[in-house]
Amino acid sequence: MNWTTMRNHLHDSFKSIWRNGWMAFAAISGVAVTILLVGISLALVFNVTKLSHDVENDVRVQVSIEPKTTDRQEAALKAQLQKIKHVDQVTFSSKENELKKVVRQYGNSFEMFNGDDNPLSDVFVVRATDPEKTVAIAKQAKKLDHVARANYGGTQTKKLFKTMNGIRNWGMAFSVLLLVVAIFLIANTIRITILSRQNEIEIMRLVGATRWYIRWPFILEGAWTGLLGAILPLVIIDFGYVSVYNGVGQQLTTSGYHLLTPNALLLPLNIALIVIAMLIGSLGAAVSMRRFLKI
Amino acid sequence: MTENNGTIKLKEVTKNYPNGVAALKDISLTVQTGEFVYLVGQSGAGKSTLVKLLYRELVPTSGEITVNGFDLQHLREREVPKLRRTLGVVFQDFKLLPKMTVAENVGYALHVLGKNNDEIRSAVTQVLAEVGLEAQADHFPDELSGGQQQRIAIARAIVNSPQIVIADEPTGNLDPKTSAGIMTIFQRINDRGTTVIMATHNQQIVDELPHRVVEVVDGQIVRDEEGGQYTHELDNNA
Ligand SMILES: Nc1ncnc2c1ncn2[C@@H]1O[C@H](COP(=O)(O)OP(=O)(O)O)[C@@H](O)[C@H]1O
Ligand SMILES: [Mg+2]
Repeated sequence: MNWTTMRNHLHDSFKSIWRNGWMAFAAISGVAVTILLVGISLALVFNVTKLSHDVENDVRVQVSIEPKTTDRQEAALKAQLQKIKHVDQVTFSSKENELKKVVRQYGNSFEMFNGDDNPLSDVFVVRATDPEKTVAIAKQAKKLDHVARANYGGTQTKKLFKTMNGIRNWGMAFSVLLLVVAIFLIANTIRITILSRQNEIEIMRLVGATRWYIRWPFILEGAWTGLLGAILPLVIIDFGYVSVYNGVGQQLTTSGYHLLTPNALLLPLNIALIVIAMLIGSLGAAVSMRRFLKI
Repeated sequence: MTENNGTIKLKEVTKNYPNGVAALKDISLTVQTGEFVYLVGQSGAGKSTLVKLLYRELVPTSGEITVNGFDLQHLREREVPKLRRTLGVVFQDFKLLPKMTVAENVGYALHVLGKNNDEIRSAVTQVLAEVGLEAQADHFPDELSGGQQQRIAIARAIVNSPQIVIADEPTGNLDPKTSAGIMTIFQRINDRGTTVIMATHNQQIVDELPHRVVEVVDGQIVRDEEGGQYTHELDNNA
């Protein structure tokens, strides 16, 4: 296909999006909603995968020490912890230190717990030789004297996962539904175009235009409709992710886990979404061509 | 394929429509390069069906068809455009695009084949001269008469230098004088060695410009006569 042909196809396809008016608008909106949902779901999928990975590689067990434990007892406890199998290293962190972390994470209002009002406890951070051993270590640590709690692998993060997975699953299911709707809406606009160009198509066939030559403008129209539909959701997702990253992301960071940075996530996500949008459009065109383009 | 250019061969061709109508029954017909053949017969005889088989708009129920060296039974769907590029087809209703000028309508046939603008311009200029429409190149079809519109359609059919021109009732919408002018153009095309096959039930044009006549009645060939008249001489006498 030469350049002139290409240019004419492009021109034709744009012209008919414009001509199809509110039908095209409905199709574009359909794609927009779909892409928004698919985008959010994908962002969740990628981050859940990333965070799971972080958690799986986390070798830390946080052993909280009961209040009123004496220094001596603490030292004994430390020795016992070090004797547990697969323990690599045990470090002490005072409750003052722990409060500092909370303040960093949740804000200055927690400063009021400073001093004697501090509800937190001293902890031993126990590092396992490998992440799979943290469960066993936590269990054993819990049985020792003066131990209040033993948490491993970001107990909190696991709760977050549950919520995220829920959102993701519903998002995916709903996306599939919307995908079908979007394809249908695009197929509908392409149908109008095909019907309005019936004479031209007949003549093209008659003079020996190839089937792909005849199909291209419709495929392109579908693809552009998809692309136009992707613009708004991409803007929303990009800005949205940056603010989520700056908010939630900061909290996670202090607990040792990290969301994907906007730089790492957004470029591939945007490309994937643009491709998906254009595929939805082309698929819609294909559906319509199958039914209405008798070539 | 070259030695078969301009030839048409039908062998025992039958066409039944899905609704059960038997439009053609066991038709055999051979047309040589450079011939001019009229397909005559009453409305409903099967002329258009036969014509549609030639440019592979329809496929026969049974039988063999070869056109311009293309074996139509074994022609794949995606190869149909190749066949059509060797044919020029003209209809009763012209089939022009109203939003395009005369020159654009004719050039369209080359345009969709991916020819560049220079090639298209020179070919269009030449072919419009052949049909006597140079002066109307920038007009729109509906500014022109029926006869002129049919000339545009003919120009479009021959702009890619086909070896066979197929026409289905090309004078069906035209008055006798205009029809005669159109027939002159077909004669000129045939004089250059292009095969012409024309379905018509217009007695006047057949009788005024005698060529081989193939008469179809009820889906069967009942007469195949070189230089024949529209009606059989014996019928006239009777
Ligand atoms: N698409 C079709 N479906 C069913 N029957 C058809 C179709 N086209 C033509 N016919 C029938 O086939 C017969 C031949 O028609 P046609 O080839 O158009 O004849 P002609 O061109 O000689 O007038 C007629 O009986 C007609 O009704
Ligand atoms: Mg007919």
